[in-house]
Amino acid sequence: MRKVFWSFISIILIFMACSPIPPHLRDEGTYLDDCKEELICNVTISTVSFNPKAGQELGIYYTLTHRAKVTVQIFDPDHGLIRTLCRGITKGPGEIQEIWNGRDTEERIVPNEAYFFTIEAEGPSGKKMVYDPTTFSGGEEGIISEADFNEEMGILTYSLPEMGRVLIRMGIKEGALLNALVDWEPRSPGKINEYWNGKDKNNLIDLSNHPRSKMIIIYFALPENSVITYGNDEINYREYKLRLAQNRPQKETRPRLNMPSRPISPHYQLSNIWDREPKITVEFPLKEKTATDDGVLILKGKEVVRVSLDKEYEQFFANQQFEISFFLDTEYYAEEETGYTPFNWLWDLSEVSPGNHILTVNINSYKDQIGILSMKVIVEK
Amino acid sequence: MKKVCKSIKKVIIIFIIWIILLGLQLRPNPSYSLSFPKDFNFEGKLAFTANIQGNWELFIVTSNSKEPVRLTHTPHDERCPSWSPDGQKITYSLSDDQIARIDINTKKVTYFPQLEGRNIQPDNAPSEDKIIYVHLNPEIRDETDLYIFSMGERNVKRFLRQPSAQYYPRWSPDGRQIVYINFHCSADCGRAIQELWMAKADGYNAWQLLMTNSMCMSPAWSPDGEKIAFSSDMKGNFDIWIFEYRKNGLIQVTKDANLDSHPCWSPDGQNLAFISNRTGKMMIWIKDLKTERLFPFYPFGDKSISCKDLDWE
Repeated sequence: MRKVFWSFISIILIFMACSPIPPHLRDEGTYLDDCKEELICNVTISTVSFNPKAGQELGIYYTLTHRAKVTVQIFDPDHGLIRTLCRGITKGPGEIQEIWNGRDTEERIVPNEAYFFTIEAEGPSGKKMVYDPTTFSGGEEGIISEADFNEEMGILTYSLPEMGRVLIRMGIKEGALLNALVDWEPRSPGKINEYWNGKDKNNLIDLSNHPRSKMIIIYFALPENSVITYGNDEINYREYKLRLAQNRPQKETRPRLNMPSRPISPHYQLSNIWDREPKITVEFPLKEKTATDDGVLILKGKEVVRVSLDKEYEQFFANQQFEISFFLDTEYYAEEETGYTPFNWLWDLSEVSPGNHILTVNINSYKDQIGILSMKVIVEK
Repeated sequence: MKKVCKSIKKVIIIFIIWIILLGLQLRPNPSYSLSFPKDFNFEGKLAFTANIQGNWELFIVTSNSKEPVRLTHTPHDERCPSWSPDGQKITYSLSDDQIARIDINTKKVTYFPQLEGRNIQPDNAPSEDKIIYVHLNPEIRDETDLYIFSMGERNVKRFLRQPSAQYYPRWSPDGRQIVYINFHCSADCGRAIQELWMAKADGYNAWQLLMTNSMCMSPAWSPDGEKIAFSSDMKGNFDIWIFEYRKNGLIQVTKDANLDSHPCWSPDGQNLAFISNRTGKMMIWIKDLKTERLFPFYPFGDKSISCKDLDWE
């Protein structure tokens, strides 16, 4: 009887030694072999894009190898704080899930944009770790060299190999820039369809069939696990940042820890509020002009062409310095190297053949923001 | 009756006091004219352009002025004023890329048909009646050359044979050298790079002064010819710098996050006036280089009027 009893105890002890210890009972050693020494690992998200207005949410998943105090925060592309999902809350070890409903700290639905998050954890022994995707990803330049345009459907199609911010510009080779179809907008990876009617920004020129038309599609990668929100048609990112979110705390600046695999785009470092096409206006302030029934100006002699930047962009553009270029019928005509606003250009129309023309103005900052405007004019002698 | 007279007298006295008070309110605000700090001794003559009604006109203020004197009334822009050696004329360029000269006393404008094509950024020689200016190449975009026009002989001579584009030529106070900006590269370098260069006045020898790897602009000689103030974005945004070119010293004068540009020296070399948009508008600011005091100058007393393009004689 005694032998049976001790045999039974031995079997139980052997069984317990071979069984995995439940996670909540572990406080030392690694949790999963593939996490190695990391406190945070296996960070993933449930989707690359979602519509908060439709009630959709984002799941953020990560593994903690030890119990830790955790802070998870959402940031906008200019590293402004959008929302703190949890701060200093003890969690783990194990697989953790956070949910973001696409709202900011004031419970407003965020504007359509790309957002990223950070996870900070502090273990019981004081060991700290930060998951900050900007320290090892984001900004790498890329060029899309193939795109298809279906003129009948009005769709331009291309493939984006990774989540990125995309720029599509169109113009005439060695001539005017005529359209910024996509102005550094975030896009998910995969096949992308952009709607385009084949024309310039002001619908005056058939670009798709122009013999010297040129298009560039470039992008830079967004940080790992970035997510794009959509569906908010009430406020855009720029208005949101300037009117509602001016004083939000900024993410702590952390250096890049790895060597990027490709050059980093200079646009990655620029503010998403200002790294856009500015609004410009072109007026003819001298009184002697008339217009046709459809509003096309009739010009003759010498006319003053007043080019102005929208007030909101004035200071930013002045800080960058810029030049102003004029194109007549998409060909280079004149240029002001050291641009200022308003700029009053005296146009001597005696040099221009009478008839219908298209005047295009480009305002180019030296950091590659370009304002575009084209207009029809009629020149008379 | 007596009471009525007394009342009328009171009314008249009150009315007179009211008129006096109204008159005091309506008198020109002394702060409208040349709003310098009380202990600032403004000397010389400052020429600048200002946007009053949608275009940029030429103005001057002098130590005797109570308010700016408007020199031009045109629908286009006047730019880049440069005082003549006698201080009675200003050479400037227009937004149709012509160069003109105006007599500040008669306001008569003279054009120079000898200067063909498109020309900008003139600078008067310190003692001879000639100007150096930037001629834009009509055939090639972003390509310029520097030319010298002798007013007396009415001849034009190309100053320098250098590829790419040169801008902002400025005679040294002794007339022996010219500092200018040379354009190095743009997209190829990932950013615009323009550096400070110097050339002998005969145009046969030129050399690069600094290697800032930045966009330098608008150099200005100090009156003693020992320093060159200029604007550069070498620290990320455009600030004013001083290059002590004989000592090879470089000093940062302003450190604002916004644009600071177009410096010019006071006649005694103690102050630098420059243009800044740190308030959201292009304005004139003055810095005392000894005391480091910095203050805005509102020539019209109105902070909403933008100013740019300075020359201090």
